[in-house]
Amino acid sequence: MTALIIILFYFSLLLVLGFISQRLFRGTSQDYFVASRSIGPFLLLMSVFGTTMTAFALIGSTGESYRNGIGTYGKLASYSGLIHSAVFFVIGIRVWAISKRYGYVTQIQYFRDRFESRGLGYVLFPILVGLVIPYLLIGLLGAGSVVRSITIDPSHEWLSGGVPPWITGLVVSAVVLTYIFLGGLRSAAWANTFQTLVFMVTGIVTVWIISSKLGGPVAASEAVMNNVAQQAKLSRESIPPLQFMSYAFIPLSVGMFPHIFQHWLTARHAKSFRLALIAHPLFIMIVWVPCVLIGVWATSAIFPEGHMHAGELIVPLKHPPNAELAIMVKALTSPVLAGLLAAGILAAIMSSLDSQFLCLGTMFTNDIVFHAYGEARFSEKQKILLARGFVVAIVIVTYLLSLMEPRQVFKMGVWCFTGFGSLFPLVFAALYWKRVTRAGAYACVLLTAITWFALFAKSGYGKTYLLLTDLKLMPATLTFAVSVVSLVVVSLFTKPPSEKTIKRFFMSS
Amino acid sequence: MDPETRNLKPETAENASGVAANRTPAHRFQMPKVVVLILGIALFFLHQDFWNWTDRTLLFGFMPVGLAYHALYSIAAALLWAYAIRIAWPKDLEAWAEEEDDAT
Repeated sequence: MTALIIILFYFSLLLVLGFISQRLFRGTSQDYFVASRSIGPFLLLMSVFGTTMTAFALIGSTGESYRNGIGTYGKLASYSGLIHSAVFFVIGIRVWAISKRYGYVTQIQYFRDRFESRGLGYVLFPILVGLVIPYLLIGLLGAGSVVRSITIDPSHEWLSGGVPPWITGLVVSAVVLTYIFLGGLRSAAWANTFQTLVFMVTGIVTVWIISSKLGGPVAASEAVMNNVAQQAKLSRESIPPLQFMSYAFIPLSVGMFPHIFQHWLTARHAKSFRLALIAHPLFIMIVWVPCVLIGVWATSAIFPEGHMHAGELIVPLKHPPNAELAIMVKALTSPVLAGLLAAGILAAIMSSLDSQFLCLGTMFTNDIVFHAYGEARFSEKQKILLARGFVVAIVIVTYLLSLMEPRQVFKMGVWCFTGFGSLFPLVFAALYWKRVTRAGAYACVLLTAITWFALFAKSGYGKTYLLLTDLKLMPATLTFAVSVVSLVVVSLFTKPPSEKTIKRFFMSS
Repeated sequence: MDPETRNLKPETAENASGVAANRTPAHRFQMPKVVVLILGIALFFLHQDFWNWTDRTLLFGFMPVGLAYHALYSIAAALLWAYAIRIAWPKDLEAWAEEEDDAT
C-alpha cells in the first residue's frame, strides 16, 4: 500500500510539472512540435537520453542479464555508447542544420524534399508508426509488470495480486498524455529531464541497497561464482562471437527514430549537441552497469537467514516476464524504498512514452493532414488539436495490444530497434550520397519493411529468431544488408536527383 | 552563428580551420576527421574482446572482468567524442543553417 501511495504521488508530481511547463508554452504549433527550437545543451542531453532509455534499459537489461549474463551490457550498452554518439555527430547535427534552414519538424518532410517524392512520405508514415508501436508496447508492458510486482500486499485483499497491468497501463497513458497535451515537446523535455534524474539516482540507490542486503557486492557476485549452474553468466561464453558483433546494427536505430529526430530539432544551436555527445556513453554506463549486475546476482540470490523463506531463491525459476528487477526490489527493500524505486523505473518508461506519443501526433499532423489539405487552412489551435487526436487514437491501439499475451521487453525492443536500425542507410545516404535516388529510397524502405515483417512473423511476433544455425546472427544483419543493397543497386540504375535538389541539400554544390 | 563567422559573407567566411563556410563538411577530406574515423573504427573492433570471452574473473571481488572492460569501453567512447568535438567539429554548419536559402 505504501509503495502504491508513493507511485501515485509521483504521478501527481508529473502532472504538476506539466502544469508548470504549460505556463512556458507559447501556444504555437512550432512550440508544441519542436519547442520553438530553443532547447539548450543540458535539457537536450537529458531529454534525448531519457527518451532513449526506456523499460528496455532497466527492466529489459536486468531480465536479459538474468537469462544470459553480463554479455547483455556489451551487446547493447557499450555499443550504444559508441554508436549513439556517432549517430548524433554524423546524422543529428546535420539534420538539425537542414531542418533549421528549411523549417522541417519531421523526418518525413526532409525525405520528401530530398527524394523529390510526395508518395515516399505516405509509404514511410505507416512503417515508422508501425515500428514505434512495439516501442510503446515495451513501455506499457514494463510499467504494468513493475507496478504489479511492487504493489503486491497480502494485508489488503484488493492488492493481494498487486495492481493489475491493465490499470497501470491506463493510468500511465493518461498521465503522459496530460502533460504532453499541456505543453507539447517543451513539457516532454522538462519532464524527461526530471525523470532522467529520478531514474539515474534511484538506479544507483537500488544497486547500493540490493547489494548491501545480499551481504555486499563481493558476496553477491561470489554467490553466482559458487553456483555451478549460473557461474557462466559472469562471462560471455553462452553468446556466439558473431552474434555479439551483429548487435552493432541495433543502436543505429537512433538515426531513424522519429522521436529522437524531433528532439534533435529542438536544439537552439549545433553546439547544444556537444554535451550529449560526451555524456551519453557515460550515462548509459551509469544506468546499465547496476541493472546488469542486479540481473546476474538475481540468478543466485537467496533469502537470508531469519527470513521466512530463508535459503530459497529470491527470484523463483518460474516468474512473470520482465519482473526480475521488481521482485528483487520488493524482496530486499522497505515498502517506502520499493515505492521510490518503482517511481524511478516508471520515470524511465514515461520519459520515452511522452516523446513517442508526441512524435506520432506531429507526424500525422504535418506529414499526412497538412500535406494532403495544406497547412494554411488550419488555425494554430486546430493544428494542435489534430496532433492530440491522433495521439489518443494510437494510445488506444497500443493499450489494447498491451492487454494481449505479454512479451519479454528485451526481445520486443530488439525487434523494434532492428526495424529502425535497418532503415539507417536511408538517412545516411540522403545526407552524404548525392547519387541516391527516389527509386532507391522506395526500394530500400519497401524491401527492408517486407524482410523485417517476414522475419518478425517467423519469430512468432516478438520472440527470439536467429539467422543461420551455426552463426546465430541477429535478424538485423539480413535486414540491414537488404536495405543497403537495394538502396545502392536501384540508385545506380535509376535517374539521379535534380541539380536543384543537390544544390539545396549539399552546401558545396 | 560562431562569433568569428558572424560578420562575414557565407562565400568568404572561414572557420578556425581556415575552411570556407559555404562548403559541405561532408565533402571535404580533412585530416582531423580521418583521425576520428580511424579511432572510431579501432574502438569498434576493440568491442569484440575475445580475450575476455570465457574469463569469469571478478575484479575487486565483485566485478566480472568482461563487464568491467565494457564499462571502461563506455568511458573510452565518451573520450573519443570529446576529442572529435575538439578537432573535427563542423563549425560551418551552424552558419549554413542560419543562412537564407538561395537554391529554392
